[in-house]
Amino acid sequence: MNALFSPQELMAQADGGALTTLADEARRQRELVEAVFSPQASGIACAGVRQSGARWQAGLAAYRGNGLAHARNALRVQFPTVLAMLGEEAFDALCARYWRACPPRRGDLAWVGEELPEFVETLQALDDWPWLGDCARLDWAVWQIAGAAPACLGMDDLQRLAADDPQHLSLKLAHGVRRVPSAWPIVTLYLAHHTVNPDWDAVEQVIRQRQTETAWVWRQQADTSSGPPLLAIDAATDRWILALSQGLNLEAALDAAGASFDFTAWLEQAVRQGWLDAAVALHSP
Amino acid sequence: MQPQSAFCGIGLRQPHYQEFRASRPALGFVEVHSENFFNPHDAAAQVLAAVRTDYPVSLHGVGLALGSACGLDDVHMEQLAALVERIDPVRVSDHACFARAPWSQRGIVHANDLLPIAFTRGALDILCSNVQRVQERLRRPILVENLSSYLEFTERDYTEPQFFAELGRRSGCGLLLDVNNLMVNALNAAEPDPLQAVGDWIDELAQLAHPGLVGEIHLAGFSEQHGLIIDDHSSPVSSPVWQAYVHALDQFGAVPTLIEWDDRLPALPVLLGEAARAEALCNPALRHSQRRDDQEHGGREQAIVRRRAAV
Repeated sequence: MNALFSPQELMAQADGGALTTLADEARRQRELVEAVFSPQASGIACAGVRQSGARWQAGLAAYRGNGLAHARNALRVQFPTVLAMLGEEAFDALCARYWRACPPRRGDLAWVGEELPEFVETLQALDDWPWLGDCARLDWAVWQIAGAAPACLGMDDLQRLAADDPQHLSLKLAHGVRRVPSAWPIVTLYLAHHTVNPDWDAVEQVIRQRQTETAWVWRQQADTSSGPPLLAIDAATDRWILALSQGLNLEAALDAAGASFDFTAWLEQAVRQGWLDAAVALHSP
Repeated sequence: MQPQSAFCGIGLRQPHYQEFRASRPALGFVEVHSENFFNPHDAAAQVLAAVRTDYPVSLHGVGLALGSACGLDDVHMEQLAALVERIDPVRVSDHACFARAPWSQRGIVHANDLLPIAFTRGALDILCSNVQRVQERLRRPILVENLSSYLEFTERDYTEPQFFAELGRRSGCGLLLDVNNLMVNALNAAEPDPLQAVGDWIDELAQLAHPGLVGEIHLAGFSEQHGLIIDDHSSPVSSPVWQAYVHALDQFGAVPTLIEWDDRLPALPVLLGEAARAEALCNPALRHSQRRDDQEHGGREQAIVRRRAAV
């Protein structure tokens, strides 16, 4: 942020002059924003506004209503699983509390949900749904990668992969992939809420068993017939992905993954689904 | 296929993408909300790039918060600059509002709405400075839109037309004249004759403004909610706003005009019909007969205007 005026300048209380005028503008803007996000229904006092009483409250309600509606519409798109779990009424109430507690930092609504997963975990009313925060994290990951750059693995990368020494090669993951670890079966829950007629008994059983799942999410390719772009990965694949994220060479990454990891099957899927950007030569052999 | 030469356009929204691209209606331009296309990798960006090959595109932002005393969000401005670079729009615009301000321990927050600024020297200094920064970064003049405001500040050094004329003179930006916003403000201010008040506003601006200050006009519908008139872009352009538009055309000549419709979006032909009506009014001869019709057949909104004026 490149501020027009420093806080010291804005707060200066010099007599007369442009500086005081600018400080006045900053103050009146700060007061109106505080009123908009105030938890009090009638808003806090805002000096210098022409309207008062019921007309002030109606005007303030219009701004609150607009801002919250914009945020709520965006959050509904960004958190479809949380919306499905809570239902529309509870989700809208969650949006209202979130919007007031964590006012947006950016004017681009694409980012309005970035703190919702953490916020969900602070709400005692949702203590009976301890997986909700991680489910929100998974929704947010799916939302973010939907707008990520497409993978750009080329034929030269595949040739390098076939020919080069694994000690001198690493695989660079695409921008449009995310790993979301959880102590809850978040992939099972996600799929259940994005499937027609899911087996809820099976879902409940998985939750009762405290089955943990790490989600692997990727940018949907043009062909959407293959289902939601996510799956639960096993421990070996998780170790492999963590090793790639850390930039380890192929040999070290395979060692980290362990003997049960099927590299050939993973690579075939990675190329098909766009999980990789490049095979990078670490240095000249 | 290129659209026929025309002044008027529509706001292109997601539910109409497919039909719009298939039918390629004759329009002067299309307008989109800049922020919806910041990401160059998502599907909407590909749609806009395709539309751009057939139509001039006007980029209309809602998030720059040009009047904010705490300054602009550089990330937002850079995203806009990248979009402008990709699309080469016919116009770039945003609003004479603020939305960013310090809040509690959180730092700078954004209200997700178009909050009103005071018509004071200080607010004008801030707006001019921010507008100039944007214009320097984009390397082109922008248009700044007058607001519909539900609250206003008591202190003022200028009338609103004076404020925008001065903004244009000092910063080199143009005005995106939203006629519906003028009507909404007149109604909420309980002006005895709202249409006259809007006409007076336009006349004052015409007297003060340099030629060409008004670079685009917006037309939209409003609704009445809880005793306030809200600029919700959810209905046809109202009869009094058409009348005020005719008056603006008389004062400023034919200006590129947008039909804004964001909520409860109608079928595409309805939007195109509104644009065609605006297009016809850009012809002075047709304008004269339309003026007569409007005066004889005031609609639902005309009734609201009369009722509120009576109150």
